[in-house]
Amino acid sequence: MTPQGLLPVVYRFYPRGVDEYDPGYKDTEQHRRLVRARVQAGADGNPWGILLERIRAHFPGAIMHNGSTHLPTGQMDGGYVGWLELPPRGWYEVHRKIGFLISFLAPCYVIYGASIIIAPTTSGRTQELRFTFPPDEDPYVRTITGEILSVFPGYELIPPEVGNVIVPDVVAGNKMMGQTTLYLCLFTDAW
Amino acid sequence: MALTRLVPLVALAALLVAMPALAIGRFSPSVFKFVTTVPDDGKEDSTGWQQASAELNFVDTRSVIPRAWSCRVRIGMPLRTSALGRISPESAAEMSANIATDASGNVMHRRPEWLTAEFCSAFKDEMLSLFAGRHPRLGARVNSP
Repeated sequence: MTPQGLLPVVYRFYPRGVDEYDPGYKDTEQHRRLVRARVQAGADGNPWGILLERIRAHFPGAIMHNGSTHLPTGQMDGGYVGWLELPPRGWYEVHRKIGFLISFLAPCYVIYGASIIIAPTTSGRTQELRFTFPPDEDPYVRTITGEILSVFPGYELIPPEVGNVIVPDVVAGNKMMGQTTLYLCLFTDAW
Repeated sequence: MALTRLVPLVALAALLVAMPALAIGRFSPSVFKFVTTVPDDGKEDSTGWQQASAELNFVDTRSVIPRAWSCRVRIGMPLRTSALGRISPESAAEMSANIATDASGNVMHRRPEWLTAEFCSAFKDEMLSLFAGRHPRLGARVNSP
């Protein structure tokens, strides 16, 4: 999938040139379509629940998080959000996970690794995102990928060089116009 | 000279009286009234959803005349997670107040002055980032109501 190929999808669900603070944003055809897609994605019997069950079956005892329980409200995201917790690798790592995102706007997905690490920032911590994986994370990634493609056949992985492309004339997540990316539009701002 | 010194103080005092949810000091947990929007379905993973919408007021006292504005935010989090168990509305409000207070300070000092829309966008982003850093197993979300 190319940025040019994904832009028409984005523009079906996000109004061009309209800020979320603008009066009328929520009445746009695109926003209403997005809300309907979210509600439908969160309805009973959705494939996301099946995927979570299958992944859980592979890793009994592991902590898994379903970050899409809010979808019936019609708020936030263009994709399902989930992650599997992994043990931290050292004192510097507070939290480690393999995250997986499945868009319900386009047939695409993302798998990434993320860690909260100790860092000299105002909060004392920062998040590190990875799209390549160390050997100990590979088995998790392979299993999750296999289950994603089994439940969502034909879906394609969106690499960061595509996902991080700016969509200059829409807003998604909490970003200002000019800061929104394909990843934000098609998936979420909660990585 | 005395009048020059007095003006910002009077302005600040007026703002303090007018704005109970002010970012000077700390935001009160009472500002964040969490209500259940998706019930707990009893399943294994994170479940249910609760959220609170609030209009948060800010004052930048770094200039002679303090500048005030507000941001509307909606904070949401599950009712229960497999890692943390049940998250009460009180606990959600307490976490939200702490995160909002710290996010306000962090963002405010990044620039000498802010446009309201830019501040609100950066503030919500910072809240999301602080939630992720401090409560990584929670799955809290921050957006506009």
